[in-house]
Amino acid sequence: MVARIEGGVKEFRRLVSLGLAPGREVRVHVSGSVVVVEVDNSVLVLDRQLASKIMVGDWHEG
Amino acid sequence: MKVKVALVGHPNVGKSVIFNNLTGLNAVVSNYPGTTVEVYRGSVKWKGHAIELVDTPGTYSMTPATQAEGVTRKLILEERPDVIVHVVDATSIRRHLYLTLELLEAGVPLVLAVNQIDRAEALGINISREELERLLGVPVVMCAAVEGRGMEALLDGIIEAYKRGPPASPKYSRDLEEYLRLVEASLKEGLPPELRRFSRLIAKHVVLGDEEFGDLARLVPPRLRAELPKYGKRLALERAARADGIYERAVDAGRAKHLRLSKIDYVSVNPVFGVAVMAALTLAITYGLLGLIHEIGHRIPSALYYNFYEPFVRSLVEGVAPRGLIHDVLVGERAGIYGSLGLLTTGVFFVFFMILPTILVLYLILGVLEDSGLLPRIAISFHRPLRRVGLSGDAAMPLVTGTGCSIVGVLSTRILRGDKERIIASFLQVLGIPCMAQQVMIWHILGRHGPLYVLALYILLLSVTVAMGFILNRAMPGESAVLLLELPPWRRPQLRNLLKKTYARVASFLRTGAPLVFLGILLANLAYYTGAIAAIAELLSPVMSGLLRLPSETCVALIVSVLRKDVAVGVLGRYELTPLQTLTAIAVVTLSFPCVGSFVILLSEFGVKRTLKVVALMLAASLTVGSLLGLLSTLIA
Repeated sequence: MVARIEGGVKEFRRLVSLGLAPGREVRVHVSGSVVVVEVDNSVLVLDRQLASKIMVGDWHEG
Repeated sequence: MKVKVALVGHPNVGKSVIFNNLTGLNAVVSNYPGTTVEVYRGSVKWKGHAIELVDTPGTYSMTPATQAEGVTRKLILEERPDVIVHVVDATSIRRHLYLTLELLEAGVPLVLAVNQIDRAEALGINISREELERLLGVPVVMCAAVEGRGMEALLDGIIEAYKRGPPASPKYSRDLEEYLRLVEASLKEGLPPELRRFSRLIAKHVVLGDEEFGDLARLVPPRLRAELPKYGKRLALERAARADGIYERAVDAGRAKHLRLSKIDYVSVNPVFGVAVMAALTLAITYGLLGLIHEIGHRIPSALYYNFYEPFVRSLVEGVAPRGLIHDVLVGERAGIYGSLGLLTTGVFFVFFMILPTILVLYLILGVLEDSGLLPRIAISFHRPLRRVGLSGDAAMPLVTGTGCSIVGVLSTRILRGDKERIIASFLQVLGIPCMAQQVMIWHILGRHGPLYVLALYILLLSVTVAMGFILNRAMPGESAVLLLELPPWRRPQLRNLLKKTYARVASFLRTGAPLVFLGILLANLAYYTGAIAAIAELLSPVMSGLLRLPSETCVALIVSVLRKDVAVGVLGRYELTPLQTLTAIAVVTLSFPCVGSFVILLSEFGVKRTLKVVALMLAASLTVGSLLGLLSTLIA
């Protein structure tokens, strides 16, 4: 589960608009120099640097 | 009644397939004004309405991150379509609803086209159309565009949305609404009159940190401005939460299974094997393609040209104008493709016998790569090494294509997202990547001194190319591309879609690129006719012999290189040069100036100012490298 997204509002809105919003379930397929994640039946490929801003874990609304 | 409709949606959701299903062969492709992003337009008649369709570039958000996304927003705000059709992928509809909510806020009648419903059903995802319609307040149409299902319902939906008018804009939490109201009020006075009616929408973009409205943030009082990032995140979060709420009520994905990546997906993301395998694959595709082009697009047309076309045209022109300016402009003083410089000889050969067959095959192959899903996988593998020179992985294919012909390579940079990336990719290939014909001549002329000299030349060109890439990346404004892309599922390309896309792109070249090629040939012809070429040769002689340590008569090769670099390298074979002088001359010819074909394509793609900057940089690189090699030549002697 995406718990929170760190960084500025620009990265935040970009990741959220792509579906990586807090509370969404993600499945990591590859975690190396690039990170491949599955979210809502789609596969997204991210730079490791960008992926490191996405914190996964338990998510609590509010 | 005339209805203007914009097809909007994420990349790879099937917008183009819907566009092609609805429009006939009347589609045209053009660059959106002031940009290099392709926009397709077509029309369809339906129940007494003339529907004009615009297929916009794929976008994830109305707050753009790329030039292509910026074009989509600009098109919606400036062209004000009567209806927006938001095409979403039924298999991942939750991710798309964020954009649906943004589009509801644009104040334009909206239709939601839920595409690939067949695939969603196969995955066990059930979507309630009625519930989506109720929650969003807009017509919802289920379709499977690849099979042509739902197209008539979509046309009905467009008319219904047009009659209903703009939908209600979503409301957010009380304190966010209050904050947006205060920001809107502070902006209103400073907005130009034509933008005041969009003040609410613009306030949201300012809150979201949209760069295009960055200057407007200064109008916001400091106390409110300090809270912009906090409320920007709140706005994005509340939209996503609302999208989740709609999804949970309208979609049942209880039985849906997780995706499985293919082996090639795992290979493409491997930092070592990925680059190696994809480089081999790309080269195999490109050189296979080039072989095909050489056979189909060069040999056969050459035979037709020499045996039938040129003798016929020459005799025809000589019957009317046996000599003089008109004769020389039309068919040239001398015979031969490169020697004549006539509009009806060299010009017609370049456009119709050489470039046209090449881009026809290339665009078909590029279309297959785009539609099958292979292109994004190649892009991932090349992303890391290319990022260092300001390019993203998407630039790999145009760069490799440039090894065949830089004209085609520059044209294929259209698949790239940003202007900065397109210019760097185009510049690097006209600078340091010799075309296929030139490579043949390099092996013929420099190779006779030994393969080590050829290797040295390639290392030299690669070093200059990488160094210029570093410099451009730092000097040019704009951000380097970050890897954040969606991996589309593997798909079998649709022939109808491929042919229409290729037709539209080729027609675009004939409309905009071909006239410039003819103009270039005409200018070169007049330069010979008036004696300007001889004067330039005289002028360049001191540079050639003084700075580059080359015989002064080799400046002819440099002049010829403006027309054809392969011919220019061939011309060098006529002179008695040392191996190092041959290497110097070929390096200078390669780096100095784009051939006339590439030059006119650069002009048509990037305009006069940026093309002249590219040429100035090439000349600087060429003189620097040539002088250093000349110095080395002197030291060795």
